Amino acid sequence: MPRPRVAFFSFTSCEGCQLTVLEQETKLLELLEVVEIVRFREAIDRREDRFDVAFVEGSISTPEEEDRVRWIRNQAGLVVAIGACATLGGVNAIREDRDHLDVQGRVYGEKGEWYPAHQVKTVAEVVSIDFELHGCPMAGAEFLDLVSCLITGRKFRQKGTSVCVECVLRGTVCQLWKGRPCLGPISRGGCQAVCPSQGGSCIGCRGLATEANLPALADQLESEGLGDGVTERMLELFNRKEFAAREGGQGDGKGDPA
Amino acid sequence: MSRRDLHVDVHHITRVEGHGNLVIDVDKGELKKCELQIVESPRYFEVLLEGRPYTEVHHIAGRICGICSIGHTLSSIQATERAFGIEATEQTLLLRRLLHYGEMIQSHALHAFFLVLPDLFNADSVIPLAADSPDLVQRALRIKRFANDLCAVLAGRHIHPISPVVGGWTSLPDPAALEDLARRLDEEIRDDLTVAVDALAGLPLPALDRPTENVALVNGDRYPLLSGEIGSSIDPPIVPADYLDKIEEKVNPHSSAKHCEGGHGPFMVGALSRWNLNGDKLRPEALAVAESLALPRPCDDPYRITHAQIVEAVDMAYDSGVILARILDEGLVPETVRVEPRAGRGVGAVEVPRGLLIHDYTYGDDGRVEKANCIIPTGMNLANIEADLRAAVPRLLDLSEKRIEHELQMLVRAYDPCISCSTHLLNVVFE
Ligand code: SF4
Ligand code: SF4
Repeated sequence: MPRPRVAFFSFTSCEGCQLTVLEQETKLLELLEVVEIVRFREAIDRREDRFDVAFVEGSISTPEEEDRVRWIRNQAGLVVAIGACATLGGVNAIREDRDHLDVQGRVYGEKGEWYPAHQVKTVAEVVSIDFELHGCPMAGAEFLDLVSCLITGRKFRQKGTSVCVECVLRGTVCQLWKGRPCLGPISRGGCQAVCPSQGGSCIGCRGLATEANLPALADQLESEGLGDGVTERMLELFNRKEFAAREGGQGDGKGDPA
Repeated sequence: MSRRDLHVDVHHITRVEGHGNLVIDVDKGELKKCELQIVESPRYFEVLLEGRPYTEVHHIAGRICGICSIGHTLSSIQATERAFGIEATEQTLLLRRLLHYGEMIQSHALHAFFLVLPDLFNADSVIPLAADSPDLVQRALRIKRFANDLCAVLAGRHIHPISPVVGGWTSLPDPAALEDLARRLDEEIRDDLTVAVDALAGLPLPALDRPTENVALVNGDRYPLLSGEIGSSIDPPIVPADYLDKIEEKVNPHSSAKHCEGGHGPFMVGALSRWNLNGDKLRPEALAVAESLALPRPCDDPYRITHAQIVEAVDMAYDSGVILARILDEGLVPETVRVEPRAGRGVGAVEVPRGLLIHDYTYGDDGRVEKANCIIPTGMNLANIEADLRAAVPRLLDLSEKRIEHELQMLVRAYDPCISCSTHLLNVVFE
């Protein structure tokens, strides 16, 4: 695809994934040589209605957002969902076990009906997508890699292996050995295990690894005195939907008018 | 004044964070409607935080906003530490300040050089500027890169920091990386800032004079950012935990972000308010920049927020140098602070790029949040922006429609509004 026309769109999100694009400072000017940015509300005024590639950030959480993302699908050659909000529902989906009326009332009081809460959806739950870039935020290197694949026709490869594998490769001391709960064994890698390498636990922002073995991790944590549903609770942070799907249903939003 | 009709309807203002519409209606010279409509989808963060254990709370709170995720993280950690009665160590506080500088410099540079500068060159984005003024854009990018790297060295990454946690840090920065930052600051960034300031100093901004109440932290750390009381240009300061006495939030049908008013109507938070209340505490290098930008103190012109941000960025870059030198000289030691959850309330109050940020949590004795409340700077500024727009419109009526739209968008943009941030407000109690 020679110099594709690319557009960026943002839905229910912190806009951190779009910002990740602006934070590729050293690569930004090179990027502008190989793609033509025709829409990026955060940074430019230009707004064109046709584009080869649409990067979509955020969860789809209102009927208006559903309409808008369908329009984007129509106008775009390729649609790429970027970041956990778009690919998993992300932190937005934490509230999915709560009644929607309760949610809107808690935040907006009796004016809650002005801001009705709806089910939080991933982009793929509303339209078909061509690629996903995982993470919260997405990894800048993966974004650049995908762009270069689109231009050169090289095949874009996603990691299916776990964060644990990357910790081992980096020689990072295991969080579980330190007696801390960590989702590394079941989380999809590709982030170079950045959280454990900073002494933090993996909280699963890239979704579940293909070969994720949830019961095994739960058992392991249990046997180390870290049980008590800690795995499930940590999975609620980003993976409420995916976890519910693998467990066989449940966890869908209640009270959705649609 | 002109007796004309005017209808401005800007759908999704560009070069701001998040989705906002600007709707102005003038009928025969009379202003009928003036609204900054916030159409960002609500995210209900207070609900997301309820029931979560303290170990996760700052991770969730940081995801309110990508651009100030460090500010949210630090305010969240502060609220939790205050609820649990934890005193952070001196080393922890010093590193938090350095990390906070990284985000402030990065955010101010993004706003001044990438969002506002194009207006001053009549360009639609920084992209044409990169062709016309490559040196300036390269230097601006280098300043941003430095600030990002500072965050990454300390916290693992800028957007959604990893290492700062309740009680301290999960890891300490690598001394070699700190040394490299100190070197870049000396060899490149100071020069880059000088050149960038000179470029801005030569560009005239629109002007608006509308005195308003300024609110910012006072009596805290050097130039108060991470501690202190909530100060005002009108009222005596109050402790953070009493913020509800000062700030009233209102739900508004045209805005999913709540508007805030104080005892004297709309008020302003952010770089200009900090400059007005605390400018004398800035480093001499920053005061020299204020002089070269001819920034008065106090200043009542919201278009000058960008100048106040630049003054702050220079202050923080130079102070980063001081902190880096001290850390490299004294070294860092691993510390362990015992975190024992207890029931109670804690209020974190931090100055983030766009102004005062408050996180207010009530914990149960199991260390889980029972109630959360966040007040976001853009939410506080919205009513003030609308008041500025109302003051500005009548004065602009003789200009072309396109020009009016341009100047009003510049006015909104001057506040650097973070709309995605401001749409997750608190539990309000209605009478
Ligand atoms: S995935 Fe994370 S970084 Fe990206 S928009 Fe969502 S909350 Fe922000
Ligand atoms: S270590 Fe886990 S939480 Fe951290 S970036 Fe990787 S997948 Fe996400």
